[in-house]
Amino acid sequence: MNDESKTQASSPNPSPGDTAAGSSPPPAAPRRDFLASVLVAGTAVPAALGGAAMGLRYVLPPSKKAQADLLMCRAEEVAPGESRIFENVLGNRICLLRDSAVAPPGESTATYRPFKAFSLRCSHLGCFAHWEGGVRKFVCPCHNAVFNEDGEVVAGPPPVGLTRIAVEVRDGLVYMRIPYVRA
Amino acid sequence: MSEPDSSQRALVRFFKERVPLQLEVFEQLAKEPIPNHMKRWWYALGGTPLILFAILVTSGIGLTFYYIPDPDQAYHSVKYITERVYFGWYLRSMHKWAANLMVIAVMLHLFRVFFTSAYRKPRELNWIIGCGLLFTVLGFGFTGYALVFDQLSYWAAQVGTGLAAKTPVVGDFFQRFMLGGEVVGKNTLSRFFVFHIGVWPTVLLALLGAHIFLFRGLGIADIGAKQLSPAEARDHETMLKSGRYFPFFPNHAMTELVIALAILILLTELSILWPATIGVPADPISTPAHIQPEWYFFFQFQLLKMFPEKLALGLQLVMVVFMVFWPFIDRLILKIWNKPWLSPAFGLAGLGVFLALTIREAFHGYVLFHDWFPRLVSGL
Repeated sequence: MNDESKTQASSPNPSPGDTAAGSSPPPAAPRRDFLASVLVAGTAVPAALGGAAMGLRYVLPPSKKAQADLLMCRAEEVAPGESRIFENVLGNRICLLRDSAVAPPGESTATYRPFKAFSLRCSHLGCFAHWEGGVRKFVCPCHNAVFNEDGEVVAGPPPVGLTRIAVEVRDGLVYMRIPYVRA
Repeated sequence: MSEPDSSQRALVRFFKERVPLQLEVFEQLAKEPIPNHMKRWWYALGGTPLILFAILVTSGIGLTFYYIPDPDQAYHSVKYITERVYFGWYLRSMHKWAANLMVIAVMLHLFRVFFTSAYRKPRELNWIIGCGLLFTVLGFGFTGYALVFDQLSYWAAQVGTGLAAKTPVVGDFFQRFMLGGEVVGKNTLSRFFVFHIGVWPTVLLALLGAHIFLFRGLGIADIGAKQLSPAEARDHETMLKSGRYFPFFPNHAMTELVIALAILILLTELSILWPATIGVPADPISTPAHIQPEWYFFFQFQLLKMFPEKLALGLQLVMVVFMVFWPFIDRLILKIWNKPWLSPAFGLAGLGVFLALTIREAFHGYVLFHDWFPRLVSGL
């Protein structure tokens, strides 16, 4: 360390390799040093970066958006235009609706999602609504609330529509996407 | 290695002018000669607690990010860390296992120092500080275990503070001080938390500083060789040339680094195989059928089961005094009987009793001694 700084002081502008060129032929040590440095850097740097990334992820609380998929049924079990009620799913009653098989005009078949699901618990006072297939409306018997196919209020006292539950179809199976519930 | 350019040198100069550090002194300190016996791994047991302490502080800081010291939320926050937070289970398990290994490492260090007679003159005070460090570690364990606030941890706190109350004269005050009221509750959890993350770390750092200062100042006990005079001990060059010593840095630092890596691997394996779990939430109304403290309090727990309360506490007090002042007692024993094997024999007996009672408690008292032993003692 000290010797090094002295050499620097005597030659104001040294270039790398200057000291080695003047003295004996270069020993094997530099190559070994180089390999050792590569080895150390090659393990220490990824380890440090990985550790830091994990540390950062630990510090950030888990996202509230975490979801779980709950298998409901096979897609073929609900015919186009039909519905199916799931009792006591998450302590609730849930209605799965299927539109007609063809995409409505103006919507591409790629983005067309024929399945919809709603919690049947009425947003007014918590009675269970039911699906009236003939008129394609949800009706709550308690105070005659009516909701349309998209769960929006059509008539009656409810302040907001029915809670919609995201549905996904994968490999012919219908999944309900539910928020992660703390055990 | 390329030469530092002028801007780098300017940076070095900038700090050299503003930070009045004498690097040469540090270099000298780092290269302190260490007797050759330190190359054996069991002599590195003193450094092991330091490594574990670093791991415990790091993981502990991580845990406080989510822990809430409130009776209504503590349990759920621990559950949240364990089940929801990214790698939270790992951090918590590491913390738990490092704490257990810490107790083991400190005890092993103590046994090593004891059986190599390294506590003898002039190192008596350092032995006493070391005992203080052990008690601080146990304090960490007791307060930390209670923070989980599941059934076992709640009742361990209840029993532990109940025991403290049995201490003559100061017991009642001591219990109220720890509980912050009549029962384990809001104040208790706050106090345990503050002690666990504030008071004990401060005490530990102070004691550790004194411990390291003394052992660096006195030098490492040179086992099987004559003690060097202060003048000889200052002549590092000759010491290193004699071949009986090696420099702390880099040689011994390398040993410690290897131990640190081994500990990290061991902790990770333990955390994967036996991760820290959480029981049912604390219920102040119902005591679980089997309550047990952490294993390092088994010894005391068993004493209390075997003897009447007052006797058990008295015995503990005697043992603590014996342990703390052992260097002086040892000298007395040597002076009176002059039998060098007597001190290790004492230590072995103590170690034997400790292990026997710990194992007995671990098996719920079904082994080693049967009914006759407590009956015999209470008959006395």
